[in-house]
Amino acid sequence: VDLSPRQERLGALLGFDAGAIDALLTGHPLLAAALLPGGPFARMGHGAYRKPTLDDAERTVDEVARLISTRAGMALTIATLDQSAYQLAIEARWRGGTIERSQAVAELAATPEQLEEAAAQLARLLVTDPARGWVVLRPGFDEVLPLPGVSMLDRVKALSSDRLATGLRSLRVDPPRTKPERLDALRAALMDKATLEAAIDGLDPPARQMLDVLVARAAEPPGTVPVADLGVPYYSSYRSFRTPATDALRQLADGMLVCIDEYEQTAALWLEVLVGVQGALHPSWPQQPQPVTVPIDRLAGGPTRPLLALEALLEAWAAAAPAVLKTGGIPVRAVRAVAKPLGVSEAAAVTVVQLALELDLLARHTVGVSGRGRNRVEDQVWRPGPHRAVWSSLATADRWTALVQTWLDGPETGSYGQVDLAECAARHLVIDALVAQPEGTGLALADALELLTVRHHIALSATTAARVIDELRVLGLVPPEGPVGLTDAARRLLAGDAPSGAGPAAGWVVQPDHTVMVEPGAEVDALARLGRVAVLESDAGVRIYRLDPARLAAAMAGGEDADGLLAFLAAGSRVPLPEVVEHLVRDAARRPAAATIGTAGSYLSCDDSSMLTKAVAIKAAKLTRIAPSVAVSPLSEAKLAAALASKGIVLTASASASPRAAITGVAGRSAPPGRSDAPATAEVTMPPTWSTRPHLVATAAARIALRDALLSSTQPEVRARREARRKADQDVRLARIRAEMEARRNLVELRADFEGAAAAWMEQTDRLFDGDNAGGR
Amino acid sequence: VVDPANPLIVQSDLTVLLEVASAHAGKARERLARFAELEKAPEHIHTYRLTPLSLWNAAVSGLDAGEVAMTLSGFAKYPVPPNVLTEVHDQMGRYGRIRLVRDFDSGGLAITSEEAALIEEVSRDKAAGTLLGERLDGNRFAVRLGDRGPLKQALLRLGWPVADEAGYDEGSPLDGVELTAELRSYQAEAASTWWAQGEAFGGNGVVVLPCGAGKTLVGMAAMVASGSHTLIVCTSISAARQWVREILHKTTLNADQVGEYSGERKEIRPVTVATYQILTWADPGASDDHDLGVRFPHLGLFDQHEWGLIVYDEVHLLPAPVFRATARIQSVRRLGLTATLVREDGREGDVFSLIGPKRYDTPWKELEALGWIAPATCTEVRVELSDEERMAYAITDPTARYRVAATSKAKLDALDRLIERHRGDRVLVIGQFLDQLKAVGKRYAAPVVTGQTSTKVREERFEAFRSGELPLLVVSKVANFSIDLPEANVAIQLSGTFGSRQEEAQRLGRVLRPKSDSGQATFYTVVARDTVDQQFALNRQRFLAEQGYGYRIVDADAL
Repeated sequence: VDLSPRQERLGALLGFDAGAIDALLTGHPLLAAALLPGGPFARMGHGAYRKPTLDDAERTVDEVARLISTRAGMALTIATLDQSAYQLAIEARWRGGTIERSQAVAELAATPEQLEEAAAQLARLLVTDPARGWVVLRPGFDEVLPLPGVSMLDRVKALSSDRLATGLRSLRVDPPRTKPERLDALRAALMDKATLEAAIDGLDPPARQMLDVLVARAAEPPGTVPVADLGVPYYSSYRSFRTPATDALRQLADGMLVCIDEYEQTAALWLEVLVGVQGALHPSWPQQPQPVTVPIDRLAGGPTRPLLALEALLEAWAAAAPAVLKTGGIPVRAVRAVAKPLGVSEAAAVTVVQLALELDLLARHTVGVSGRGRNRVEDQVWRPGPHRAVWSSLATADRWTALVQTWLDGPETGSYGQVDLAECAARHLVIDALVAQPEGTGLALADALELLTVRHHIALSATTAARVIDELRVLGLVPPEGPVGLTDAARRLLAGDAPSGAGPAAGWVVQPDHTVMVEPGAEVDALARLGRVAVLESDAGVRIYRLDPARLAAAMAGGEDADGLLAFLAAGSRVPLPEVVEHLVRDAARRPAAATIGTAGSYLSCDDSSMLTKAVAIKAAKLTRIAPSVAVSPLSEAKLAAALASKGIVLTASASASPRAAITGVAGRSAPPGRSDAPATAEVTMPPTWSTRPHLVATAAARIALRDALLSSTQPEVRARREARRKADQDVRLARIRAEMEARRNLVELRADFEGAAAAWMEQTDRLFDGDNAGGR
Repeated sequence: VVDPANPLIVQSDLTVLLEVASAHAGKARERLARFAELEKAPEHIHTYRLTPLSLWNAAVSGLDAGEVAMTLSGFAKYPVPPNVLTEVHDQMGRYGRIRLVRDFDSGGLAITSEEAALIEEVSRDKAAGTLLGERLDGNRFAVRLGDRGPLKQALLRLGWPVADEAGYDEGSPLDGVELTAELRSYQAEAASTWWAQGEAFGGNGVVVLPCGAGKTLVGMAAMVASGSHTLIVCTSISAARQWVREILHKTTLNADQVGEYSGERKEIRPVTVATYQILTWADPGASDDHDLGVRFPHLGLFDQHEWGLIVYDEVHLLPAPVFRATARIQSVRRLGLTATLVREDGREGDVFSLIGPKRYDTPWKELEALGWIAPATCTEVRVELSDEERMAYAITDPTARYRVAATSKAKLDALDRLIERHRGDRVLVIGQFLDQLKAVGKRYAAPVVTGQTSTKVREERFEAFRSGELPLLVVSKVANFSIDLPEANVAIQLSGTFGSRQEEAQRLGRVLRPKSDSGQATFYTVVARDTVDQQFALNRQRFLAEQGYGYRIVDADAL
């Protein structure tokens, strides 16, 4: 039966028991994550056609079958394979999609145990079908499993039967009659060492030398060699263009030893020839690394660093917002510039900025308009977005969870919210590998990279794995330096028990030498506030700040006040506040008092002086008159309008329609650091893109739900429900076909009327078709 | 695992925080002090640091990495970061892998190691390699006697501390010398830690004790332990004479055995007390190109006599030529004494590598609690500049503003009130600017001691102050160090050397000697509000704040 991949997978899944489902989802973490509401797959699609979030009822076998049978799904499955299973799958594809156990043991450079393990992994992840043989690829995989070179299997259409016959004759083999037979015979001859050696012996010396070069280069990516590297200035199959090197290359091409891409002007050894030369498709078999685990700094990492870096970014860009590039992006220079204030590397700064964008904490703000007419351009900057206040109201644990989950679900590419699935897979695979390590331990970086690249060598190159590990360090899941392993806090976070912020010894000690020693577990907002008034001297566990006169003065100028700060320091301190510290703070507060610069929230301009006087008299509006027709208020535009409206002054919000008064927000206004316009008690609504759902808990929940769905899918009522849904779908399709048929009939009649010069009545309809052409005529 | 009752927090940057309030703090400090350096000791949390030097020193004294790890883990409040334990194992495992030994064939020195690769690595190093002589055999290289110090320094910088097994020159014997005074417990501990029972790994290093805690006696105990001719180098003639007096008073030595080598006298005796000034006196006829001995002719004192011990008083002030001379005399036992191992030029590392590691240090407040130094209160008195002074300050060149602020007349008004408040006490008024000091002297008809005052007059005035004849003495920075004025109980600082932390601590030290009536010491620093004087004061107070001295800040009007 010729089943589609989706049908085939559906059949296989229906035969899975609970253990097999769990093994599938454990081995394929992205699949499990994909099934979560809001997970990466749920965000695939374009704009309005974005796939809606799955609900529990839809989390069925059909959905899993659909996900894993798409080309992207199969590619991701392959990417999760370890190198051994991957090579076995390639070997199967090389042999027409199947390989027997005895054949594998005899021909491959692996031990029987390695092969069994690889075969089991392929079966577990639905790459092969054990019901049909030891290793038999499931439908669709032959198209997505790339061979490690240019094979005749992939170029069948480009090779004519005559061409194959010529090749066979040059190898002194009589060509069979049909093209498939000729292809098989040619491949077999090339992979036969004796035949191939005889053919090579028959080559002219220049061609033989060229072949040696191609053999040497075949092992290195990309496997193809520019013909110029072989001394051939330009290759053409037309014999009119001749040089000695061209003749040598032509001899190799005619002998079907080399494949030439005339468009790209590259040459490559046929993979069959390479197999003939080296005796096997994979001369060696990867060994599973046995890395030695070492203890990690279990207390390092945690939410503090990433969240403080994020806060520092938001504050820095609130104060000096970088311009939005014409392409809509963020200037690289601006990202580099924040690396130092954030106390992170430039690469880490990129991660922080990316996450801030994905959390919608940064948004474009229009600050002005330049040009006119066609040349009119809005001047935009990147500033903290509307979700900033909500973010600030979240507890440390929730912020960290949302940050980590956003990272796990991302990154987004393009402007429609699509997810970079390859990157997403890489992140999940690294996390899952680290979760599997014993608690409190990690691996040396080199060992971790070796383990990850062997285990998932498609998804995780050494560069990708190293980058993901760096990002994990930035996120505080892995200690910022030293061995790679999940910290205790990271494990708790991923298991749904995120650190609450207030640790067992939360609080600090303020010492007379102006240092503030903060033990692990303090709330990030408190640390951010300390960071504004003190210099961080150490964050090697206990964070040590030193209250600094310059920073204190800057903070005071930015809205901090001495009493508030002293109350804050005293409230968090486990010991009484030293007198010298109190003096230090008050001294700093005194100094900027001579001259202050502030920002007004709004201004009120009004030509009617009496009305302005009336407005200024309203205390709640906090207006100060600075000119006969202008007053300023520290309130935001909305609050000012509300305050005036409450006393009967209704104002229009635009100055263009000759209003009685106009209110306009002052450009560049920013709230003082550490304060937010959002009331502290406001009900918090989480933006839809954030998730404080812990990764592992949610994944486990998805597994359980899926397993239940799968197990119940064989029950009669579930079958009946599915049947009813299919029937309903069918009815919709039939209705659509009927409408289409009617429309066509109308067109036929209209044509007949036209040809017979008969009178016809024509009208425009709004909806002729119910489908994609809605609105057509 | 979190055990809130434990006193230590071990940080991944190799600092160890000790919570003083913990019940186990005392025991933890006792163990910690054997392998970690005390960095600061404010009121609540003391900071220690694990340095390669402190760990090597611990290894030398017989401590192994396991014991260090046990102490850290056993007293830790949170799990000890693994990198710290790795570093401890690594550093302690480095000591002794290269040894400096006597080469009995040539009579010189040689370095050797059992690891061929290591000795090759060292011999190929740019700095250390040039200090090695010929290869004697497979794993041994000859070392010139004069290169002993520089080679040790170079290898220290490479991270391979040498086990110096070549021993010391015993020097000429100082027979029959005994102490006639009893050592306090911490003095005895400091001296014995330095001496290390005469083993090769002892006999060098620095002892850090608060001012007034009796460092001189530790120096004398070291001299008695070594039993050899001793050269003592100190900061001034007054200090030198004080040393001589103390030695004669507290040891069995007589006046013929103790000499002064200074600008005024050139006596070389079995125990000689010299000054840094005379040793670093440069011959005006010699240029920079000349040999060290030609340019600084008195530096020859180090070599001219068979010293068995050299004591460096106030070692944090060691001048550069003495550094270089010290590098050449590594075969002589060395002891550095200081209260404030803070060098404003950041050369503490040179002190350690040439004189030796810090052997003993103890928090000031601990000795205060034991009654060995007087309890002290520190107060910053803030004065307001007058309108004229404020304007003068505003228009003055920034480099000269400190002088304007520090010499404000308002300070004299505050001084009036302080002196009035401490009528009956022994008051030292300390300052930086001579005009200001002279004005103060004139205002209160008090004698002034400055650098311009002859040694004889200085001695007379100090003696008059000691005897109680003078209740008020005005001094410049010449009295910062080594001047023993035990009955002074109030010090009022009007100005100082900008933001110098060690100067502030040394000035407090003038009143810290225990009082006969167990009375309190009081230290005032008078500061002009909203000027650089106030900023400098903040920095100056840092060392003392780190030693647990909390400053009260009061307005002059509130006095």
